[in-house]
Amino acid sequence: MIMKKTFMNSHLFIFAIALIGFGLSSCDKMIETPPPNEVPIVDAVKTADDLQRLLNGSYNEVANLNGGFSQMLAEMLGDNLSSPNNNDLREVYNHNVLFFNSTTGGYYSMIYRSIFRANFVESKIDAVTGLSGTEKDRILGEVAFIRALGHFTAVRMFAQPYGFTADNSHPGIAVQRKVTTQPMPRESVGDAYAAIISDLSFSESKLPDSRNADTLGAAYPTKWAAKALLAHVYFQMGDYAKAGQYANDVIESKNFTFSDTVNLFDPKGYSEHIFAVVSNGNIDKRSGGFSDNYSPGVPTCQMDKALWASLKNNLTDKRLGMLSAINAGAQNEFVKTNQFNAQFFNVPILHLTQMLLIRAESYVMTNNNVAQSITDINAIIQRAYSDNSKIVSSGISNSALLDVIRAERRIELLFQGDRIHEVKRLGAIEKQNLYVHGHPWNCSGIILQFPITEKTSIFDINPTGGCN
Amino acid sequence: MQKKLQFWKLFGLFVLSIGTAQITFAQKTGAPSKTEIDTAATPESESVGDVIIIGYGRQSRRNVVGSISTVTGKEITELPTQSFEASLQGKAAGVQVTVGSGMAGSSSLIRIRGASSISAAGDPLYVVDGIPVTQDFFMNRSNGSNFGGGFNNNPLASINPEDIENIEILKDAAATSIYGSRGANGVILITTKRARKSGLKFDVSSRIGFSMPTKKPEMISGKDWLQLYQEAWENDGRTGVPDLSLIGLRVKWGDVQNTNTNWVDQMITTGVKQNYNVGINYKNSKFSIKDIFSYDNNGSFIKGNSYERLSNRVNFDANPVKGMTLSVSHSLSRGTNNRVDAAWAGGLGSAMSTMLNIYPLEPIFDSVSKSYLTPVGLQTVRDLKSYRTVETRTINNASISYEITKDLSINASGSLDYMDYNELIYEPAKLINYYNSNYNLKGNAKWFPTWTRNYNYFVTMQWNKEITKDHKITTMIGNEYQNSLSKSKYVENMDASQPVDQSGVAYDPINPPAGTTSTWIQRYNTPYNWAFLSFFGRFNYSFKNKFNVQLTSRWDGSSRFGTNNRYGFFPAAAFGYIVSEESFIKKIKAINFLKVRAGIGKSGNANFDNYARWGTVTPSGNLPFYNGQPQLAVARLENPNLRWESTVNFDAGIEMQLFRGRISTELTYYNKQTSDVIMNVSIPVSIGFGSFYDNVGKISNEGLEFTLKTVNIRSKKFQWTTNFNIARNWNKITSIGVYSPDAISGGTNDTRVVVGEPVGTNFLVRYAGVNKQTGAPLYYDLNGKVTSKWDPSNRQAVGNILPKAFGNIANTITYKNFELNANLYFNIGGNIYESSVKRQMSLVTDWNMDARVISRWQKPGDETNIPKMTLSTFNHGSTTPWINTDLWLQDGTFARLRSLSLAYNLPKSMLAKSKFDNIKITFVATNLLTWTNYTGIDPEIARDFENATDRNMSGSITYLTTPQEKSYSVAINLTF
Repeated sequence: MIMKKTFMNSHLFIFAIALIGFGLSSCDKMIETPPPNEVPIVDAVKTADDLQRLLNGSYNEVANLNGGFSQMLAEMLGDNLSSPNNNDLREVYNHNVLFFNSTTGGYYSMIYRSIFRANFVESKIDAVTGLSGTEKDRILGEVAFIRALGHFTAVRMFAQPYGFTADNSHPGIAVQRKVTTQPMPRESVGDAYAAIISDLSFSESKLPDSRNADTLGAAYPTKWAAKALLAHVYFQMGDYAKAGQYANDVIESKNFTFSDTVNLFDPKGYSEHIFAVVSNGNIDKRSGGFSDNYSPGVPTCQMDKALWASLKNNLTDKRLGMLSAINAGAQNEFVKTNQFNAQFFNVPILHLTQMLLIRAESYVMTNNNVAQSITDINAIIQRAYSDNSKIVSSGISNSALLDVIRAERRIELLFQGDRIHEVKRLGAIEKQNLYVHGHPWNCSGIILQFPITEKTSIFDINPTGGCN
Repeated sequence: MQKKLQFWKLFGLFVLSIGTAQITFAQKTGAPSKTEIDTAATPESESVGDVIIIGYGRQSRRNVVGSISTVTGKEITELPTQSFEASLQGKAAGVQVTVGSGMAGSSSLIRIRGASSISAAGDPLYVVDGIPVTQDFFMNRSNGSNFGGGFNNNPLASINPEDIENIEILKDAAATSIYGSRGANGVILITTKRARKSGLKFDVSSRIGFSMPTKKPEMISGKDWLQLYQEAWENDGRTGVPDLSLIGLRVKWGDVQNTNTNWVDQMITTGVKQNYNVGINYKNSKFSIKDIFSYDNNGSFIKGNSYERLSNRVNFDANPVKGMTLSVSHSLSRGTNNRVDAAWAGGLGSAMSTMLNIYPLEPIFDSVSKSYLTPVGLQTVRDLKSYRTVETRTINNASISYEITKDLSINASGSLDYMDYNELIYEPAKLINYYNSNYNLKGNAKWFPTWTRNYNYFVTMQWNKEITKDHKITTMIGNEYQNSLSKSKYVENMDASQPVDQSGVAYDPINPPAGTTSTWIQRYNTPYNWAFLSFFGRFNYSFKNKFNVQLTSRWDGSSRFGTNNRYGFFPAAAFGYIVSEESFIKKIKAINFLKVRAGIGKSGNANFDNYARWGTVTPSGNLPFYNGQPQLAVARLENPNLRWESTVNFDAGIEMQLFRGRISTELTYYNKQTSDVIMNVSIPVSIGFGSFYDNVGKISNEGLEFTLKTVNIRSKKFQWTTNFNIARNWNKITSIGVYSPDAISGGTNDTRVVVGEPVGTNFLVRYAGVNKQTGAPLYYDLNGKVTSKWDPSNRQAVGNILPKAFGNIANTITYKNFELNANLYFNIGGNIYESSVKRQMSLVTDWNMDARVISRWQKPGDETNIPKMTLSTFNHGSTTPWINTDLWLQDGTFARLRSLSLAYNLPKSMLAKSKFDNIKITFVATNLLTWTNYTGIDPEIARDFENATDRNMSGSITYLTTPQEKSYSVAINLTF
């Protein structure tokens, strides 16, 4: 009996020891099966090159977004185009975007993907060794720039404009300035603009004066890009003093040359590009948002007929020379542009002509150096028309000058997604009663709808439709 | 309401009939003699005297404290089903089995005690002879190919039903928590047959049968379709000869006036089923061996579709020295699924959708554009396209157990489940030319192989001690490790003159034939690798053989759990009290056995994405470059907190045998609270990436299960027994964190997660009927106001996919050598959403239309639910087509005569002089009759999907789903 017990106990003991020993020695390794074809983050971000690659990943989204997609949706909201033959886009055109609209939903996710990727770079900057102070400044400056560009795009497309309420407390967007996996609340438009300005001011102070033009060109932002974007932001806010000042800084830097061509999407116009989406050939092509939607056969984006009728007799306007009416006079007539017919091209997001237009208008609005406004607008007019009949003389009244500047702005920036924001600025800041094919500038559906997944207990989406 | 009444009437009738029978019987025979009762009281499976398999051990049913149902091998093989798990339907209370469809090899959807998962797989864990087997229903999805035919490969179909001795279904925590993080959705333990009888014995059986659909899809004729088009044309204010180009057709109105091809009939045939088995059984005092060789060819009613399985199993047991048992099991099977496209991918699905009956059998060729004006005929596709999957699978186990002393024994077991799965597609030039007449290559061959090797070992030690006669202790501790690796690739040859040899020998993608390199594509997919390391233990204490206590616990570590949660702990405690052992019960003659049991414990579900916890980077998007510079992006953020779904499960039951076994009954209550539910949340995209696996939800399941077995009549020549079971489940999502009902990434489905509503809630705009004057559809807004505008903001919870209750009534009548068996399966409640019908009955488009469209609105004053025909979605008050409303939602209640069989055993007297021990002939029919108010094809629906979320949430959402099959077979069994 005693023998038996000992025998049993010893076995039990050995077995238990073996079990525990085995368990402790190899547990974690035995259940560690990392995904074979992907690199775990901890191993992926170690050098300055890694960080630059990740930053390029963010630019990849910036490029996909601004290579025509963003501009096209903004034009759909406005009154430069006619009703498209596409269900998703027609909802945008009709100012009745449903939260299931996959085109606008995809657009929204691209905006925030670019922001997330930029934030991710920022979150890993201290994990990287061998980064010089200048390099670090540049990278952080670019991160803030990308973030500001994304937020500015989102707040203008998905929320009512700055000035819609007196204190700008109306619902804006989620402001993402850090990597997070938690849903964020919807901030007011005022707070969103404050965040954008704060990021751009930081960029302005950290970004370099120039990049190696041969290899990098306008593909990466400089200090001037930050200033140019600030000019846009303040202009949209109706802060014309600051807008004019930033535009002036950019113009007077002389880093950008006013081009002879009216088509800034043509290589001859690249000298004006402050920040652009760059295409490097047919494979690395980022201009599809323009070339696919405007060019082939019967394009998705056709010009608004009323706008065409009001312009088509200005025969001396070279910019209209890029437009052609197909099946003219017939019932199936449509007007398309030939501006984007090239296989690939660089797409300017910030360019010198915009700066001239902003400075010209801002100086008139602040009644400061109006002579400069006249010079600026005349430079644009002289380039656009084959004769001098449209040149503005120095005796012109401020209000007449403003009309000329705004009329030129619409044609100059046609299809670049500017018009809807112009209408809203004039509505919200200048209190003009403006309509976009019959819908008031501030009706509830004249902004894009968020995808339904955005809705959480701390984020209310926009009302659907409501423009009559 | 009407439907329910109808059903309960049926149920009432049944109860009444049993009652009457009982009374009649009692009056006629008085008290039965003892011998009579003993035989009667021993139904083959669940008698209290049985020993049953529990996790890592056995136990006498009498002492079991958990909720476990047993299904015998005989019950599994008696029906010619697509796969063995379909035979579980109706066999156990609370085990919901929805047979996939009539497609050969289709998988059934099994849910045990409701639904407690959303994005993690909700299926139970399948364990064959000790190894959790490969059970990925979405295999090959990284190729985008497995689902190419609109059909999920069923990894269980290659398991031979003939191999199965018993299936134990573990339902509550007391039973499942020994499986730790993988037990929460129940465990299905499969034990294969071993040699039982001494000497050499043979079992030979064969079955031959036919199959057809339970109901054929009814589509309108070509002429009717043209009439509807014309009606829509005119309703929209157009005049003149209708122009079909408005909906993208290229044929002219005048060219198709006289064509009427019934594509549904072209797809359907009478399927032929064959099954042959040879079993060899040898046993002596030293060793025993069982060999089962089977061939099964299960042809479905879809032309060209069959599942062929050739399999062999050898189970060997030996006692080399005293106290030692050595067991080796090996099975090898090859399952060949001759596939046809289904659902949205083609075949019968196309016959219900894109193949208009105005299209001729052979497409019309246009010599000007040098292209076809109509699609290629469905049977031409079927005849030309070669499509099959070939799966070779082997499941092996070796175990050794040794009794060190009378009380102490150890057991070591190792298993390997290896699967070689090949999907093979070949489209010859002739077929491709129909799609693109400029194609000048020989043909397109695709090969998508997946190899999965899955092994485990476990070591257990048992110590059983009878301290005194009244106090018995049984303990077990163990350790288990499992590792599975699955590799797959994509191989395509666009200039192939013949199909790819399934072994891959026909061509070598690494060294392709000279000059053809550009037509080859080969791509390796991300391999899937996962592992579990576990420690577990069980302690049982029995007092006077009437009071049993059981404590179990398991620690599970898994490769899927985040760094902050590498190990989970899953304890359970339960007791059983055999009250009938007490003298005060013993006095009551009517009660032969009475047990009460209760248990509480925790188990988990870890069946989710293998790599969700890892934060990784990959080259992003469409290009590896930005401005010529290399780029990278975060594919996923790390989730160090990701962990198992955790279910706390309370279970209490009472088991009784009355009148010396004439009545046995069991009533169980359960309450399952699941937290940390894994959701593939479509996080607000403003976070910066699309979706994310996270533990966010909470789900509650509560229910009652009732089983009643009665021996209604028992005499020497005549016996009638009834088995009845029913389960009622209450399911509710109690939390989804901050998210909205639309936050779950699923994609194709139309159900949502709504707090306070069940899993799989139909979240739809309510339909308010048709404006009698204009024929336009009307909708309700959230305030109940009628509007003509369809707005998704007005969606609300209007139904859900889960049945309220389901169960089965089985009656067996034996008369002399005849045995008649009838199974009536019923499902009460649960909605069916006809997702494809919204396109078959509303707008007139390039789709075929459902015959029910005949009741549409045609002229002012018509009272109907189907709106007027139109070509424009704007006339239905919507900016997008195919809008979801509850017009397409129906009650899924049904009852069906699942099986009816008649068997005849040749009398022993006839066999006495022959070598045969037994000869049995059986006629069996399945799905003979169905009672339902559902107006669609078949109310039993388990649609095939691309991911676990849709499988959990939208099982009964039809989309061109193939109907169920009805079959008639005759079988013969010989034993000698």
